[in-house]
Amino acid sequence: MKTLEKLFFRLSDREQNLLVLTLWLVLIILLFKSVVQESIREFSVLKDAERNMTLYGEFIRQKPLIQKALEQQKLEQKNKSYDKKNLSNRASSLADRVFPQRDYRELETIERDRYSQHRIKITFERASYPQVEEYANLIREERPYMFLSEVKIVPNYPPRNRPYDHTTYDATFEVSSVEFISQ
Amino acid sequence: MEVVRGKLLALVDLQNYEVEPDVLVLEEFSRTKDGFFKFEHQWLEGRDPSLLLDQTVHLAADELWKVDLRPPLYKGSEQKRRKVSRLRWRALVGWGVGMAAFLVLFAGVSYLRFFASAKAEEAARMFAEVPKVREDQRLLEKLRQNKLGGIDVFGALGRLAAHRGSGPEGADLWFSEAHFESRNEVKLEGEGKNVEAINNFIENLENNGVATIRKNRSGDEIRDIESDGGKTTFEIEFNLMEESPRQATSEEPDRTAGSEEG
Repeated sequence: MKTLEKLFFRLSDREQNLLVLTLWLVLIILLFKSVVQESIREFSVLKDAERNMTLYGEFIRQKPLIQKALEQQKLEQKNKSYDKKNLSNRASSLADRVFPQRDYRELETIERDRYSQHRIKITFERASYPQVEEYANLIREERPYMFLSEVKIVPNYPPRNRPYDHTTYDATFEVSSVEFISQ
Repeated sequence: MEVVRGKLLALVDLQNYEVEPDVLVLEEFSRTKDGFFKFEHQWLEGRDPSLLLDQTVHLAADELWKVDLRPPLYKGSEQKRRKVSRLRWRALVGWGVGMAAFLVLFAGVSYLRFFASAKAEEAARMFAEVPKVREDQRLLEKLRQNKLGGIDVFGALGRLAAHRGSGPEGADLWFSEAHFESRNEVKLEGEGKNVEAINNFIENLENNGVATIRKNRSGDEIRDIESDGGKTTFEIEFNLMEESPRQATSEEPDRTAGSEEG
């Protein structure tokens, strides 16, 4: 320290001023950039992460309950569930029975640890009300092995010049089955 | 040394004084923090124990300035210069302390960064789980709804249509599309006679406990009514409420009529 002091006092006034100002300037910039700005940024990252964790935690805490409920459902179905082939065959044959002009499409299966949700899409174009209702009822009778997971109905009203014509419906049925995976 | 000694002795009338053979010289001097100067002496020649001279002497800086024989103007500026210089030295020492504090804070920020990034990673890992849990929830909800009968397309449309209002010219509004995302979630599109007819329809559904308008994440109702060129259309997402057995019985006759009409 003494040596430093001696060295410092050997410098001229101008050199001392320059040295002190430069060093303080560097320190202030470093403090602002590396401490103040960084700590504000990191603190906000931390706060965001903690807030998100609380939010996501609420969902994740429900996981065991969901697994338990799915297990219960599996037992209720007596371990019987439709695989993709069963769903496909059953849903299309029922559609054929009601509305042979139906359009059939397979949708992506949702794979999970304990189950797979198979999905197919059946479309009726310009079907009558009884046809649409019958198909919906037939699928509903297949519960719980197979069920309607989404339905879209678009009515085609008769034109004004033929008001007594029947209303027809374009119906899209998404039919699903849940296949429980044996463990 | 001999030259200096000779010059100093020449200043004095040696007949009146006795010259001591011992010589005490200044070795080191330094300024102390309390504004004093410390002078350290050492015997150069001889060492008479009867001489009680202090070998280390402390003198106040002000005292020294008082006995300084240089011009007062010079002394004033020199004192000022030295004072400023000492302030600069203090600033330099302060910078050292500041730098040490900066290093401690920097270490703290580095730890905070490490901690925050670990938390962010944990949050990202949890975030990846959320859609799966949501889908599982949706599936469970669908399975629960299946026990209640699953999506009942025309039953639900009948319940809704029963509240749309009608006049001598027929129904006040009609549906052009119904999209059931589940048994209780339905998005309705259609056309009304006017805006009032659509608002009345919504009010009737809510007042009769048939359905409520769904809200988005920000809490706004998911509804859109547009009226332009004599045509009034709507797009509304509803939460259908489960009907009580009494309601089901009383609405039964309307259902089919409502559904067939669209």
